[in-house]
Amino acid sequence: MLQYIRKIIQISVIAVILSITIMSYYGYLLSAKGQKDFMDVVMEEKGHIAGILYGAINKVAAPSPNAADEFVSYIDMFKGGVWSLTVYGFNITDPLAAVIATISGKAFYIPLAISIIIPMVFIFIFGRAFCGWVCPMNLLFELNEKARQKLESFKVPILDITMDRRYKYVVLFSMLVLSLFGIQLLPYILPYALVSREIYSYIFYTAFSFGMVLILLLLLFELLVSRRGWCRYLCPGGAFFSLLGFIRAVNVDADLRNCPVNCQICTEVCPRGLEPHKNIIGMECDNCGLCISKCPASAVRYKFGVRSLELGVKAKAIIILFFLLLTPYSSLLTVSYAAHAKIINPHAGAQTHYPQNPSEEYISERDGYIVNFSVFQHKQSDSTIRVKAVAIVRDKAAGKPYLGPLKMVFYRKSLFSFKEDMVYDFKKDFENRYPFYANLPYESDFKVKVSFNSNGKDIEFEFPIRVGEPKSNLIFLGLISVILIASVITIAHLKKKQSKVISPAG
Amino acid sequence: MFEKITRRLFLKSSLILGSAIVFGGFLWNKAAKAKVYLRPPGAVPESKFTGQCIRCFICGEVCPNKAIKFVDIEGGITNIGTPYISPREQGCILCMKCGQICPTGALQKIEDDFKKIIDKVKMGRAVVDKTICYSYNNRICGFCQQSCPFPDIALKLEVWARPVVTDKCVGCGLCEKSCIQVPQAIRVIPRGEEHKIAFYENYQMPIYDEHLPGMPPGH
Repeated sequence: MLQYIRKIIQISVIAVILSITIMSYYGYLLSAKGQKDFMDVVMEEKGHIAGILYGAINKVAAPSPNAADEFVSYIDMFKGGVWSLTVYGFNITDPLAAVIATISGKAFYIPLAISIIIPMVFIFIFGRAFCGWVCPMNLLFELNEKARQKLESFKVPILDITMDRRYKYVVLFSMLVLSLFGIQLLPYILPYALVSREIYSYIFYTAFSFGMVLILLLLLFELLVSRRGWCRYLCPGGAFFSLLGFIRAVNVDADLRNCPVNCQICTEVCPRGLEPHKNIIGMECDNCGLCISKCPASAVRYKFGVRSLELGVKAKAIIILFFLLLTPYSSLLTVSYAAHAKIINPHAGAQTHYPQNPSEEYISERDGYIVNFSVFQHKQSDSTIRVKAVAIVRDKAAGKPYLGPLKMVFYRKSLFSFKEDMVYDFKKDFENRYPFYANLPYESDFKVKVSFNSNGKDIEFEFPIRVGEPKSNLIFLGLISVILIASVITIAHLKKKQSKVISPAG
Repeated sequence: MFEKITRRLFLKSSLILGSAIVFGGFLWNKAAKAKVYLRPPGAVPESKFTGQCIRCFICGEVCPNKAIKFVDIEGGITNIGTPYISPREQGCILCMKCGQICPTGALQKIEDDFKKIIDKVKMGRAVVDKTICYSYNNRICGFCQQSCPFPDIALKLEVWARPVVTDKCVGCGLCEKSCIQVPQAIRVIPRGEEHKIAFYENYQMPIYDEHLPGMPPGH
């Protein structure tokens, strides 16, 4: 029963974040387009899931233009997610966010101090209960743990690295040190802050950003490398709530006199890696109540077969470093917002023909000449993309633009090098005289050489550009993840063999 | 299952972990390209802004024009996740909702009032690129002035509809959005990059150019 309530709360938290974001987007659609035009756009998008969704919301929320206006100003009072939430105009902010913002911004803001009162009271009553009951990432991690058990039941060799739980305080402390210098690392590391942001970026831009890669990596980490490893050993958010919830009103307490002999079920189910069967619970307990519901007094059996594979410190460090190093590659998976075709975006994006915004801009100076180089992309359909490369050359000494002949050479990226692909030779009598345009028909990475001759001297500029969304990076990332999974499995296998050889009992 | 780690090993490893995080952060910070972004209206000075912003994305949710975007991973560790405005995609309509809802004061509350906006908002300053602006090159356009929220105060038109930006410009970017030239002939230089203004304003085409197609010198 307790666990059902907890699940319902967890799911409703995610539902609240989702609905707030969808409603925000709906409010934007209404205020940007107006009720009547908006309905036209929705009609155009018939059959598209977003079109159906927003059409349905519109029917319920705003039957008339007047009601639409009222509704927009009403939903303006509900914004945000788990990191910071505005409900009915009243703000509730994560205390950790407030601490970090105050330290790194070196500014005390009274509304921010007021907004953390409710969470602080919550922490003083329930301790670290945020982790178990609210954190949207915890729900995903719990589902992930179920998958992990499935893998184990199929005898898939997976690792279970255990570390010291105190590492998360070290992580928290070093984050606070970094924020002293104005560097905020926490909002990108904490997965529960990332979840609401990824929901935002999916609903508003139909694209995930780098945070999604981090979330997936953490899920993979907990699935294959360490059981609940992030929450137990590394999460700085959990560390912060544990520290604040050191003294709390609601505690989990084990009465050891009623314990059956040799029963450790509570310890096995504990997501935080605590030991209720010895009554070693402490401040890190998140009051999730799993040990309470699973206690055999209610005659529930819950079998775990987690193998603990003994690894040296070096091997652990290598595996964890590997994961940490992988995160910079996450940028490869993400595509720029600009390049994305967007669903019903009234002002600009709905018209996929929106070539005015430069996807890349460079200003480069050499030998008394300044070159403005910009690239404009024009997606004509799903398959073709038209690109204009524009070069504006200015003569610094003369204070005038350069209007002589100019050459643009495009080097297209093949697997490891750049190959000459197209040559544009602009003469002086080029019809538009200014600026110099070049059209590119396909998606790839390019290197552009802009060269011209002035007073007998050859001057050359070079710019890297990316046209469209080249697929090669995705392939590269896929390759990396395949290698990662393969290496984790082989390490696990080798270690298993090794432990069999070493220990005479096995 | 719960292996014991000796005190010495823990201290050693935690020192390594902590210093790795701190130095990694500094290195990432160093490696990032220094780029100045156009911040939403009411933003506190840049050095404080990146510290005070908690990346909650509420300003982006409340923006009725979807002008506020968020820096992706290319912005480097100090900028990533912070709000910015890309005026060529969408200019700021100065509704001031973002400042009113910001939980941390990174965006200051400014009333939605004509005079207060002119006095207090300073996101940047528009600058006309005279080399490519139609009005400075024998044609007449003046679109930027029509889209300006403070016409004749922030942006004036001279003879032949040549735009001239005054110091009252708040940097909302609506002119850049509406410019009909590609690339844009008027653009907003975010605050902190004022040295670039001279670069755009100082280069001008010769006004009467015999190479201009279909138009004799002096019309």
